[in-house]
Amino acid sequence: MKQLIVLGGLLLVLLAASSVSAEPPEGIPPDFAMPGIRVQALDASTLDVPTVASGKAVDAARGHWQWPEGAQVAARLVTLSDDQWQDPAGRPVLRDRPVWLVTVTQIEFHARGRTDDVNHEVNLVVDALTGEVLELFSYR
Amino acid sequence: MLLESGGWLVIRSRTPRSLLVTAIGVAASLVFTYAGPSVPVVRAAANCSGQTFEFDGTDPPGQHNYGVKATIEKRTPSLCIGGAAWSDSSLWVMTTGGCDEEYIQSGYGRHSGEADVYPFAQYDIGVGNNFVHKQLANPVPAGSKVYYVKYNFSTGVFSAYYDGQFLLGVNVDTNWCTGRESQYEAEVHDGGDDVPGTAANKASVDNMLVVTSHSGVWVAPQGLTASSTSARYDVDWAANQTHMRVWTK
Repeated sequence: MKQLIVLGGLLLVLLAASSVSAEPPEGIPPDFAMPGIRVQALDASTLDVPTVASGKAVDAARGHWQWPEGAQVAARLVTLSDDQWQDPAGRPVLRDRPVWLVTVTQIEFHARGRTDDVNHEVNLVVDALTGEVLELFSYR
Repeated sequence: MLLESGGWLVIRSRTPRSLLVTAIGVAASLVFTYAGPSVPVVRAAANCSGQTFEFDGTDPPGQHNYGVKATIEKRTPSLCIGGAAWSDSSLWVMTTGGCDEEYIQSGYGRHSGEADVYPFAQYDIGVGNNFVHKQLANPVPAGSKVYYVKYNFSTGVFSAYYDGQFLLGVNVDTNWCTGRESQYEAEVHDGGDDVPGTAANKASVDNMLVVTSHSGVWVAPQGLTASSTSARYDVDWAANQTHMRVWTK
């Protein structure tokens, strides 16, 4: 009994120490400004089929790119359209697709092409229905 | 720490405070600690030795270009041993603007933390701006694919393409200085990273073409001289001016 009380106390301390927030964490604004990409908040209950769990979406993203230790990660459920990814026939590949947008910040993401420019945010797009990673983008 | 609230899932890196709690109650903390899957380890040619920028390829001299194109063969490069965060290896075609940090490119690359090479497009509109990067999640398949960037004389937009797919575009009439050049390069960000290709299996950059006039017609570039900024890498011509190969020695 005494051990249970101690463990319960530890859990309470742990929860108090953690950064529980209903808002996006600092540094990750709710709106995105990637050229060609539009996102809109999505309520999972409006879908006819269940979405993959957010944790599985993050696992899939991390399976694609193992970001450095110390990075901050957030995921939100959105519909996403990418006007700047088109198949050879000129049709958008992603249009109003339900996805988990996994945003990784507090990182250094270096440019290619004779510049030492560095971004500090990378976004991975994970299909919310299948868990498949679709694309990765960075703009800041 | 992995928490979910509303539409958000939040994972926070552990703070000293939570580390202290973790030390007290390891069993409890394990419930909340996130650990992602690992990326397969690929043997690299050299230890990570610090951030640098090395290039292996060719830059057509002094041509005002409206497009650059090549058929590039997939070779998955090893990254430096030690997992430096800046470690990176890529192979691309690119057109630059007339001022610093103005470019648009299309190619494939492998960042630190990735197990394969992925098709990507990237551009920048000059000093003081962030670059814009996009890559597809499916790795480049074995064999060769066509990569190019091309200017649209009607819209002023320079666009990047991979295997016929449009990936990114930017209006350069309003964002770039006058004067352009094209480049075909392999690039690494650590001296221990390999460029794609080995002596036994060089990475082919074939069907090299550029657009130099308002006709928009693809033509063979002129006056190419291939070179490397590092003795670890090499480049040669399988067919002079049109078919280049790069590799790590």
